[in-house]
Amino acid sequence: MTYQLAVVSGKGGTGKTTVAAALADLAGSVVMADCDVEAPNLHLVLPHETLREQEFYGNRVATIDREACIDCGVCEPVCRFGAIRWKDGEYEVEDATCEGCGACTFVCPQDAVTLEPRRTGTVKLAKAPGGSFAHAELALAADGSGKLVTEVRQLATAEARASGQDVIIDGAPGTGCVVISTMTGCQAVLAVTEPTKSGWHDLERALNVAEHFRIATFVAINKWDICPEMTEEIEERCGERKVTVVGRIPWDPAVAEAMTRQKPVTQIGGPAAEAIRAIWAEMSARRPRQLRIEEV
Amino acid sequence: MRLAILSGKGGTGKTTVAVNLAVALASAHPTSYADYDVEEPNGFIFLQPAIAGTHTVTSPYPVIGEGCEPCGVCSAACTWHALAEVGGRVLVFPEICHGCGTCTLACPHGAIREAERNIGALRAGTAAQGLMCFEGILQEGETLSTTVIRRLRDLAEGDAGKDARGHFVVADCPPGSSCEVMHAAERSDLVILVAEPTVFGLHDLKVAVQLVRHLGLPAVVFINKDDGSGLIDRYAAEAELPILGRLPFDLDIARISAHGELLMEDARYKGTFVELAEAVLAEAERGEMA
Repeated sequence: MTYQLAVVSGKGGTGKTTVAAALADLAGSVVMADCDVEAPNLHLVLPHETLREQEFYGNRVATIDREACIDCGVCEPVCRFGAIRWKDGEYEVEDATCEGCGACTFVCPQDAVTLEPRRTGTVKLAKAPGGSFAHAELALAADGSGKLVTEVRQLATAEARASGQDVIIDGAPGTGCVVISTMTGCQAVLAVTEPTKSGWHDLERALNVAEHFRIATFVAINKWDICPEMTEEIEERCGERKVTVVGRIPWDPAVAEAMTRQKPVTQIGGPAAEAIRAIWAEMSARRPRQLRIEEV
Repeated sequence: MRLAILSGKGGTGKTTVAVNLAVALASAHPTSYADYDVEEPNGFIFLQPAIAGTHTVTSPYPVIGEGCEPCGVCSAACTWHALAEVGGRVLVFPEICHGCGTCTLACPHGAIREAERNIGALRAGTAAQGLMCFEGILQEGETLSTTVIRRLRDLAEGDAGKDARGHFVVADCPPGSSCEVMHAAERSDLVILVAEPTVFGLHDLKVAVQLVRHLGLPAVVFINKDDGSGLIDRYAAEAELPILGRLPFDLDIARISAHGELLMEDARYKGTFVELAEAVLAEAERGEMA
């Protein structure tokens, strides 16, 4: 079985991508996937060479055939998303609001409404130093980011099966569709948080999602020294929930420097890099057969 | 006037700007704060409103009743595969259902009725200076963020139209660039893009700018954690986006926010948001004249 680890957080901006890029570097040989398809950043710090790109059509959108439509309006009230509107003397579908359910196609007496495929985004396969790198870009304001995530995961999983490698996933903030699509089927989740009330509030929600799907979870507290009291409180609360805190990462200007130099922080060095190295060792020790660490 | 606070990237300071701006506006104008970041709502941590009401957000799902053959029409009609015909009966998976009602329409035997399940909650309350506060919360394990966002918009802004001129709505939007962000941001009078001067911050700001231009909304930039590098300033100049305010990179600010406290309550930072509120008012007046 391909071992899959997802880096998530709940709250945004806690350092998921910084940690994921560092783990890629530490793992040495691994398939990477960026599932934050709405605001992807891993490609900015993970050296890679694009192999191929493919348009992904994950959605369908109702389309009215103007020739056949008699503007009877039967479709409008059956749309529970309010996507069909009377505008400028005819009914039209608002693309971004349409969920592609097809309720309108069932009631149209003229068979004038059909579901047409819409581009959800672009899926990309690249070659990174440690192995394949799957990522994507969501089409602007598109529905179906969860489906795009699933597509990226399938690509990464296929690559990992072929090469016998593990997969590390850089996730999105939040707890909704995108994050659920990112976590499901993973063997472990590393939740990166920050020592703030918001950080804990959102981490707790992310932990609830991981628990809901029964996935083993580890927590790392980034920029822990910005508020040591909150760090201790989060560690205590994680302890109460029997969630393992695998380490603290100090605030370190090398993180921003690494971003600017477009490299994983572990290639720059410094206290944050050392802390992530220790976290990786800790996680590897807890999953000795599945999460390997290359001899350094 | 509706102000949407956006960023693209998570953790750039949307909520920091939204709550402090709402407090600054509330001192002189009727103001509402609405937290549309329903997957990770944090505004109430800072505003501490007295909760006046909690509403459950539900979504319908099909229940198969008398008369089912089963013929397979409903499972074929479901875009999300929330119904499946297995072993001579139809199974329903409510957690995948989007509540569209297509199966009910499609069933030739009238065998489907609908029940409601909880997917989240809305909370409303009042904070200091009469600031009206609203938030949406998506239940963990649920995926229908857009439904919660829509219901929140009805609750928080449904009747805001009648005195829209004098009433400010500060909409704290989710990160990202999906249709959820669009539903939270659309039909705003001004978008405030909160950006941090990092490589990631700049990349995601550009995504947010594309979204705002797609929606045809006027936008301004607020630079957070400003380290003086000029990374965001240069881009904003190129993209012709006015910079309406900035907060310096400052570990004290990080500590105040870590404890869930408002920057408006600290004499060192209050001025930033009072000035931002004034700049927003000036933009509002300019908009009315245009």
